[in-house]
Amino acid sequence: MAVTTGLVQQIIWTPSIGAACFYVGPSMASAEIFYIVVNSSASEAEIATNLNLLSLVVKAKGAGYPITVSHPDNSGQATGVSAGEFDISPIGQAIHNDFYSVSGSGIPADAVLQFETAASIVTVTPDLVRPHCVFVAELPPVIATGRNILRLSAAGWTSNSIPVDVSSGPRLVKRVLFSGQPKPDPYTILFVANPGIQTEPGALAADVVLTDRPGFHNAVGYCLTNLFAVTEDLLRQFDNQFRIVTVFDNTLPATVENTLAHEIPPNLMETLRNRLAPFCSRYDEVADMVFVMHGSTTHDRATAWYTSDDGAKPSVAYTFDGAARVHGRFPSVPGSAALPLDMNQTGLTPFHEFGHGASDFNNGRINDLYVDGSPGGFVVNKKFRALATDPVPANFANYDGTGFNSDPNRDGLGYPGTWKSYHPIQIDTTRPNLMDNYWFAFDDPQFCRFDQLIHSWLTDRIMAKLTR
Amino acid sequence: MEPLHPKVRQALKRAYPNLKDEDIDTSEELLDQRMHADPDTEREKIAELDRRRMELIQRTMPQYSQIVRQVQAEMNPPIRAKKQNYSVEIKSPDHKE
Repeated sequence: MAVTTGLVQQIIWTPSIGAACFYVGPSMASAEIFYIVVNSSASEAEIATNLNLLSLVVKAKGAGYPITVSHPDNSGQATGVSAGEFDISPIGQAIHNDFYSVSGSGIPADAVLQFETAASIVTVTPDLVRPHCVFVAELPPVIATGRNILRLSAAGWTSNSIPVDVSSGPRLVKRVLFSGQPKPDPYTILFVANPGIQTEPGALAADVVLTDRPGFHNAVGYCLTNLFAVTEDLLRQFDNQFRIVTVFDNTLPATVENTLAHEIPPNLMETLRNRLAPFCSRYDEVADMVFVMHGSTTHDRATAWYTSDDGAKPSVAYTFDGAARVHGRFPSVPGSAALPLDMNQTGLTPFHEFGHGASDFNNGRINDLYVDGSPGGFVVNKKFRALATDPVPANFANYDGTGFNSDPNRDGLGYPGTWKSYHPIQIDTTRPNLMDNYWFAFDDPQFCRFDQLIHSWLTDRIMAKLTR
Repeated sequence: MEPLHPKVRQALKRAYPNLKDEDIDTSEELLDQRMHADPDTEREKIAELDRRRMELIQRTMPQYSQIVRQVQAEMNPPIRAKKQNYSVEIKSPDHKE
């Protein structure tokens, strides 16, 4: 038995012998001819098998995938056809100026995308590279439309080459940037271009973000690099398991159900958290965290709302200072943050707001450390002394059997004399906590990290949702 | 919520010489309390906290929003001026694949 591998160049149906003939090779000039018999003289089982083989040949020709044909040494009759596996996979259609992602494994950090046609090779530097995925915020329109051969390339490494069809538009309303775990309820992070804003006086106004698609792509690209490519590694631990989706639907009017953001005087924006789950469900998504991207330039200080876990669904038990607590596996209201397109992209705002949003109203809040605050609710990362003059206790908390120390010096920023609050010890004691005022970092805010307790607690909380 | 940039605080104190750090901190504390209240069940509390915070801002730093925007405009790098992320190689006519 011999095998021949190559592209399907041509398929010809030959009714006189009840067979499909097809040519396999790098070009028609050098192709070998094979055939699959599907005439009625064969048994029902043979006909069904051969129709399946033929179907694969037809699909491989349409997609441009190479096939391997098994056949006797002295005959062109195909007895088996298989399409090989590729080590990369494009996620969704390749469309000019739209998001574009390619998944794989072991992708080097310096990987680039190469789109090749007979006339040119366009090399695109992705906005984010992770071992499992590369991401481009806007696919350059210089890539030729029609059939391209795509590969990822890095120093000393090249992926398989795969055929992709590139189009000039239209860009998709909903785009899956990464599909996450192949299961019914993957942990889902959704970025939505906000259709409507409830103004300070209470009116509904169209959000200009829906007229600024490039700005939306730019901001989402920044958010992804902020969440997955800064020094803090919390989300990199399991980012190959997250489902990441964008929705940009410029057909939506600023009705009540489409209004996802609300102005807070004088310059803040909050999400309207109870509208998020119904909105997402219209796009067949159940989100754990929703980033509401808006275009306001007057109310552009970002805020977040905690998740509300679904108490009726399963959870993972833990103890905090001896008290029984739970990490909910499912949200009833997703965590959320309102982020402006014009946010300062040198900071950590998306990740900081994720820290709030991924925590929970009832099962543990992660609060800002740059205000003193006051006791109330179950706060994971802040406690209070009886008097501001009392020393900061050495031990901050016991989380599920592990002790976590306090930070005696508040990130090196020092506790103001009137403050009673204190915090867990950092991972990086030379820079502010990611939940503190990261703008005070002596070098680069994007080097800041969470404290040890938040890192451990949020890891477990996200894992509870990833393993549902 | 996004932390207040130190340059905003500096600009506010420059614009209002009588403004104290405590005034800004109190405004931030009121905002912090507001963002801990449940927006579904504590609407009155949120409205009261917003009213107190805005009264403080109007009294001590009435041009707050304008000053914040001015600082942001001076500080923010141009986010749209993205570096070209692609290169194109035109194949020569005798290019062999």
